[in-house]
Amino acid sequence: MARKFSTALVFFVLFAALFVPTTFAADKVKLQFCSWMVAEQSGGEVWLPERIKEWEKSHPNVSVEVIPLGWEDTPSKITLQVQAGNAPDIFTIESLWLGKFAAMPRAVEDLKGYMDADFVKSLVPAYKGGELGGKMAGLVWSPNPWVLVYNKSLAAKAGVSGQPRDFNDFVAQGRAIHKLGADIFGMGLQLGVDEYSADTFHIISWPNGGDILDNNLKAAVSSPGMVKTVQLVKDLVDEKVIPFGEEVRNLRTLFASGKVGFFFEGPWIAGVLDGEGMSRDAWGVSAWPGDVQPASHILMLSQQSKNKALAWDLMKYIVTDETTAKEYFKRTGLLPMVKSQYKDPQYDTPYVKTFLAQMATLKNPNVWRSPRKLEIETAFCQDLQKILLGQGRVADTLKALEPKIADILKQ
Amino acid sequence: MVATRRELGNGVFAFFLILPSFLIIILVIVYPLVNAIVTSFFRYLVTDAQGMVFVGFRNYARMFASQQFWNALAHTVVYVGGTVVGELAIAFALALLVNVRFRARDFINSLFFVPWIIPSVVVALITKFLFFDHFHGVVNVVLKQLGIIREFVPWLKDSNLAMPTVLLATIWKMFPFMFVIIYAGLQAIPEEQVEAGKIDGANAFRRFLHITLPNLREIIVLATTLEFIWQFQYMTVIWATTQGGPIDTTTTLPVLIYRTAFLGGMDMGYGSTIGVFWLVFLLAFSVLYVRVAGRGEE
Amino acid sequence: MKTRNPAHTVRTLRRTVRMLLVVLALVIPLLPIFWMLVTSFKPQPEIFRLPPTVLPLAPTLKNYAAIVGGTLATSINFLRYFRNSFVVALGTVITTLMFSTPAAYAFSRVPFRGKRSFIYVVLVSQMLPVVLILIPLYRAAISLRLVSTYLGLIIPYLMFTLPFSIWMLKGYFDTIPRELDEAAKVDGCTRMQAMLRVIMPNVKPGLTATAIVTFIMAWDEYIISLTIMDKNSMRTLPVGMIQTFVGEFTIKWGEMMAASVMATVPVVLLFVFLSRYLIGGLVAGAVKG
Repeated sequence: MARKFSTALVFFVLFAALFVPTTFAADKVKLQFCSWMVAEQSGGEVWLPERIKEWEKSHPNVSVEVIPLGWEDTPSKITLQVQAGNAPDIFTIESLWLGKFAAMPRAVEDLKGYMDADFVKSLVPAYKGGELGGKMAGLVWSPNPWVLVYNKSLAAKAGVSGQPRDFNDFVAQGRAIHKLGADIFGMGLQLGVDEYSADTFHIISWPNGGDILDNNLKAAVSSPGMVKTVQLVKDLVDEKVIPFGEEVRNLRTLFASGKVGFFFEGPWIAGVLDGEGMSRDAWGVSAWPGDVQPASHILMLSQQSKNKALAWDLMKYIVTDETTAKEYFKRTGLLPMVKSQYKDPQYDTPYVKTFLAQMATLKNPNVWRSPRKLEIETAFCQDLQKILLGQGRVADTLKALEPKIADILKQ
Repeated sequence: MVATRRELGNGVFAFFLILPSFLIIILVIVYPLVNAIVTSFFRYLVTDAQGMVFVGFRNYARMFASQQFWNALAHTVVYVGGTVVGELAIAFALALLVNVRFRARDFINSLFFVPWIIPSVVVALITKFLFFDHFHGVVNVVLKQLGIIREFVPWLKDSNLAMPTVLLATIWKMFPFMFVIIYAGLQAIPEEQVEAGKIDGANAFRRFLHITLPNLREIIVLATTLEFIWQFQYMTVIWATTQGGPIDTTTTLPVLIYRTAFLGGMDMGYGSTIGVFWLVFLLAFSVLYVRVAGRGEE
Repeated sequence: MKTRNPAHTVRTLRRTVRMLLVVLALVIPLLPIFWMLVTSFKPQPEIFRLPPTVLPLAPTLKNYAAIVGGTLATSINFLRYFRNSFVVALGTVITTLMFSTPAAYAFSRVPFRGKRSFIYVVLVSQMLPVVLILIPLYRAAISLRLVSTYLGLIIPYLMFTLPFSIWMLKGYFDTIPRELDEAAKVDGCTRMQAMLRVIMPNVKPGLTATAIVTFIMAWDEYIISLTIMDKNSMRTLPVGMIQTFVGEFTIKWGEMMAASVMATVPVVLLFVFLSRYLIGGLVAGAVKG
């Protein structure tokens, strides 16, 4: 028995030793680039590392470690690494988390010093999506405005255009589509308890003058505009025009099954619906008659990076390299940042034009400027759920929510 | 003289046997424990430039005044208690069922392990899928076909149904844990006792009460205590199915701490406070539980 | 010798009923598994087809192929996640048993002061929410250069598995009558020899049970693994599955089910192998002598 134990011990020690990483040769400068785009099967996991290898060719003393990190875990893992002083040189975030990382101490480098005037001029205006609180917290990689996506055959059957002129027309068209069947939804809204849902809620509250926080960052949920919007959403959910409680990924699948008339999406939707087996002829995009917030992919430069100039160079390359952008678009539908690249004929489609036009209406919700964005949006979504589940009246619940939000802001 | 030396010998012997385990446990736990207690007296949001600000008992006041906290505690007790009881019931029944020699018993037993082997994250997503309402989740479709329900039920979106659903999923995943322990315990019951019982003419039920249960008692007490403490931490299934919703009805303490201390503003101060409460609560519970349930031992 | 006496018939009947109940009981674990298996052979559009199908209309191996071949294999190298999970889980089991068995024996057999409080101290380590230790743990791992290593993950796991292991093994040790120790001493064994040669073989069921529970604990763990493993090549299966299949845009149900099936089968086989050791039966023999 003792012999078995010691053999096991030896075996284990050897085993463990085998896998302690050996130190790399110290002659190359190492950069770390972290993104979920190389973790998912979007196509990015193949061509992105290839393109980065091209960049390495022109920088022979640099070796780039491309680190996949799941989208779900990105905010927590990156935060952990920043706190421990171990952050990757370049990491990718989504607009959702811009506020969090921009405000975090020792996290990101202000890119104003790196972006000269000519560079800024060469980018589409959506680059402003990386700016928060007076500093350029990140370089926008894909400008992703939300637009309306609609199911062509459902719209045709209901006799509506799929291109609403204004908010009321949108609601009317949605109701018309729902009349096609009890299990057909007129429009899909993200009604989960997550930041996406709260962010996209602004798209329909803004036309009614409603917002979660006003321009002075005070709670504004019981304003008449907000009450009107929430009441309308409740009515539509009760009428079963809007499906209740689905998060965005499930909404896409629901849409692909042909059960939803309209929903809000970004440029990635082409690749997503391809993957869900929906033909590109079956759906179209139309401009949203109002403001939308961006859901951009943003590259951030870590303040803890030991090779900031090199990292910035790589960031610029990833964002501006024409081949990378073209591959990105072909596989996923995500759009380039550099204005001149749009001359390429592959971008000459109504699809691209709609998104480009929508970029002019990009607006950051006020709540993004608060460091307690997640907590505030969670509280809002939860009370919204209460209302939609019939466990609270619209005006009363929203009124009670205001002091709750004020409390959160105070902490 | 002899007695003292033996005592010393015992102590030394025991010391060396326990030392490695003790070292590891102490090293890994002391710093975070002290850190948590200290931090609970500060206002500390990781993402804030302000850093740590001493606030005395303010976090504790906030916690005890918070309805959300008390709800989370209640949900945790329901969730954990329900899981442990459910696991115990199913596992015991199954272990007794297979407690005879038959061919392919090893294989059958391993089949019972399968829910436990599947990673929690997958179990959570499977649960979500099976209980879909809009996508005609299997459960809804079958129940509707059988005429038990008329319309699809939003299992995970209804504030009354979400907790039972995640509880069911958790019990399904976890019962093999109890099964392993009880089964091993049943194997360890000395044959003579069982034979003696049979000879005395006791029927199966009486044998269960007077031979099986007493032999298993200590192991069950240990296992349920540990399982209670472990399940207190368990949030994977809940987080991946409902994220604590709808309307916080499945928010247990670990979900609350995760949201508070790890997401958003990362309020480590308040999170530590809840953690300290958690520690005291579980310590008190285990001491009491073991004393009451283990009465008559040692 | 075949008899037709009533007692025999009743026994056979009882046995048949019992076997039927076992088969019925198998429905509990296996029904969702069946669904998981079936889904792994469906393409994504069919998974959400309305009305849903039970057996796949257009069965495909694409989900499995994507994990073993395709971009998942070449670029992300998904199979590495399996390897890492196995190594970490097995390593945790071995180390846990190595350290906890002597400790449990001491707690069971050796009288010394403060034994009861020791047990509670050991248990306290389980009573702090994991989330609160992540940052200090990560920082410590960085200073000890244990980030993205197997050992760096096994050591934190030991913190959870050791107390459980010690408690459980102590419980199993306690069921072994002291007479065995005495008998061994009479036969001239030292304490150490008594422990190893005589007592240990009789706790095989306990050891196996503890090994199985420890394995699953390490196998299933998510958040500490996410914290310690910076390098993608060292990540474990739960983290890898969420990372790859629960993306920003979609959830790849079919492939996730395929990966789950691939993860489950080897472990089930491992447990079949281990189950044989769950059967004790040696206790009776040892005492009789």
